[in-house]
Amino acid sequence: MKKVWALMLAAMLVCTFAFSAVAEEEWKPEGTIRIILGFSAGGGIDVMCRTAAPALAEYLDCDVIVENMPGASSGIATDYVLGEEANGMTILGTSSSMCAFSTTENSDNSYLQLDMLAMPFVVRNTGVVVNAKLGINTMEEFVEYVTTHNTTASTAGVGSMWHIPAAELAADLGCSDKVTFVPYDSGQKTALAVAQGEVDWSAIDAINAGEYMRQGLCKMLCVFSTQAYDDPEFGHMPAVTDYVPQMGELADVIGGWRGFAVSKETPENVKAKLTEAFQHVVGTEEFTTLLLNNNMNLEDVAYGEDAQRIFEMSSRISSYLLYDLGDGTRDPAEVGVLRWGE
Amino acid sequence: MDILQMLSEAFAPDIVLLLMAGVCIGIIGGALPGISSTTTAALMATFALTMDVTHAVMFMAATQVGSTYGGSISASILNIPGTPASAATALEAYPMAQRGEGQKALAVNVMASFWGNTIGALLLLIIFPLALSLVLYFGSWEMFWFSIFGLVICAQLSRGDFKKGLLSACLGLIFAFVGSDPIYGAGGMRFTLGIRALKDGIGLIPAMVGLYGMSEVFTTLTNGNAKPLPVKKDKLFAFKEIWKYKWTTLKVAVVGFLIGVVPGVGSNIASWVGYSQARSASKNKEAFGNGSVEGLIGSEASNNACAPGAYAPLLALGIPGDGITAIVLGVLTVQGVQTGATFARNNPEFIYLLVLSILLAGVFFLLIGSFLCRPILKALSAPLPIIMATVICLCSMGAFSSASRESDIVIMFVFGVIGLLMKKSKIPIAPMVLGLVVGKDLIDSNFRRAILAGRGSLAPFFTRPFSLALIALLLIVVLKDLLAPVIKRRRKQTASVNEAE
Repeated sequence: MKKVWALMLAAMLVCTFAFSAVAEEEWKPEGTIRIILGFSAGGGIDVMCRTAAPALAEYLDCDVIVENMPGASSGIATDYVLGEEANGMTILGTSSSMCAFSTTENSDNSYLQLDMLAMPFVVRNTGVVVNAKLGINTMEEFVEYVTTHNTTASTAGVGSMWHIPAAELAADLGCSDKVTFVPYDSGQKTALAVAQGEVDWSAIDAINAGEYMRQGLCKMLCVFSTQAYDDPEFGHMPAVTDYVPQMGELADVIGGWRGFAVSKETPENVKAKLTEAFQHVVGTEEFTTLLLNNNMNLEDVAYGEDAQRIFEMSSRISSYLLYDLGDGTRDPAEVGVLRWGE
Repeated sequence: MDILQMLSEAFAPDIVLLLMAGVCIGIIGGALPGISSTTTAALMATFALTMDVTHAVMFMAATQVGSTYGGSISASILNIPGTPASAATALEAYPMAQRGEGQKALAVNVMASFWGNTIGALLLLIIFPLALSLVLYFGSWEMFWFSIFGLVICAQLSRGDFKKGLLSACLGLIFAFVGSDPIYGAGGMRFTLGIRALKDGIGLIPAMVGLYGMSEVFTTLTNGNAKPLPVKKDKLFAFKEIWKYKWTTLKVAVVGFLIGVVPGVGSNIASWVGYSQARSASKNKEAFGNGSVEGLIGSEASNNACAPGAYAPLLALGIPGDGITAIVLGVLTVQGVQTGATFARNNPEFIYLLVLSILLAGVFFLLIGSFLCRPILKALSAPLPIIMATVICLCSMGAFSSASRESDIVIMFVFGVIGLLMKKSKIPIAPMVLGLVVGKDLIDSNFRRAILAGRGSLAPFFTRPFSLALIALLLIVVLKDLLAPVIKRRRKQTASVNEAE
């Protein structure tokens, strides 16, 4: 009889573990998922999150809302998300501007505390844009000009996705001391400053600079990539590495991205389900249209571990790049972020 | 698409309903203290994304027009501007409401807003191709001077003397500088006293609802004889008043529109410049600050004309003129529209449709606003404790919703106390609010950007043509105010000497 009881108990235990395993695999959100966004309403990343929310809600069969929590280049939102329970119900909508937190001190958190779920958006047509009045038409002329003159370059904030490639370019050309970076508060104003002639050049994308390029007020000379880019409107743009080979593969990862992340403490099955949900989101017609309308490449979407690897790599490179240039105020190592390759 | 076809489409029942919905939502969002026009537009963008591009633009334009007007309602009857741009409106409308002319104040408000919106929309049609030339002249140097100009005008025109106005503006600037450095980010923390909640600075919305709304509650609590506002019946439409000041209306609307064209300056400054223009043109300057219809027209017509102006750089260059057009740009981008001169040239019907939407939305808010006057004022005859409890709830909601931070409620109460002390000391509040608005993003950022772009040189601040023009304008405004009493005294002396002779 005891054996029967023991067998039944064992069977029950097996069933319990099996069911709990199944339950763990099939995580289902209870309540409302909040996407916390560290930027104001209306910007490109806000539009991205608001486009993603309905598709995410449909896939996960729950409510999904977007909350704007702007400030400190999204540092406040990052800290907030990491202060919440790590159960997948609070997702951070973020961008590459958080890569340099370890040195800009916007937050003590970095890729070390977060896991990227999906990082779909590496902007392909970001390049060197110069004011037309300078009379520079090729990348060779640009290299010659910036290495022999004191120049000014606009950026969309210190540590932004347009500041990092520009700073890296200047460093590789050995003219960092000749370039004064002027930070603006949006990509549109960064491009306008070049068109106005308020600054000489910038690293910016063709979406923001496009209208000025059409009107002949500025010109894009190359793209930040190891491969040339054929823009449907502005034609062939050579790769920056053709002229500045020192940039190497860095050119491909220090551009801009936008993404969705959760706390590292979040259970694996929750992260897996959310990653799967974002794969569905990216596949929806609305989201695809958004990507294509922003000249973003669908093939560049990275998920889970791949996304996390890019996040880590770009964070480690960007942080030390800014710190070495003197634009960062804290040694990234103080918060555990090590130099890439160490 | 010809004009007739477009008109018939614009008057289709679904479009009319859409525009009315946009206007109603906008009015509610604008009127609620703290739920700014930008927040309302951001919330509505989610719905706009589900529509086709034409409907989305029409809906967003209607929301913007409604919320721009809506901000003046709470400014008029509660002395709490729904949006920072309505601070100048409160200065004139609330004294009117206090003496029982609340309905007249609301009627003038809605009529001036309607004409400002209409003139702005028509100017948009004519002037937007020229936006490029104008925008290219406005660099960081000019933006800095423009902000200083707006602040000085505000300090000069608010109730009380100029010195107290300047003191208030300076306090606003000091509070605006709290938090992370706008150029170098959080690495350069300023005046935070180690308080984490101040890392991102003092939020404009909590500070504004505190200074206006909570201070009003505290004032009522400390005044044992406070009574609900008296209400006299008046006309629904203020045609007569607008006709009397038609040239002022036209002038301030043009000025407001042009300010809207400059990206980043916005309606907060436009309303003050319009108010100043109205005062300069007035024969009854003494009435300003005590419930002047001209002052009310100056602020509201300029503020509402500024909103269509903000579409000019969006259409011509693809850069938004203010926060709301930034959201519209986001909606258009998702819909696959890349705005700019090329797009506008190839799609003129889009521009006509936008202008038509703004015009129609104006008609709707004129009707809705006019017929809402009486019910709104009737609600104000409720017992004061109920009104004040409602104000506290609305203010707290507005302060919290701006960034979802509990600490903003604390900031709101602190600024409520500051507002109360300022009122007791007869120091005007409006310059402090404008100082908070322009301090960090316009004055500090543009000054330092200009220094960087000029490679450390201050010379461009004084040598660029538009900078020079703004400095001259600033000097004229200040000197005119300072010298006016001296000239008046001299004239009086000369007249008495002549009489004696």
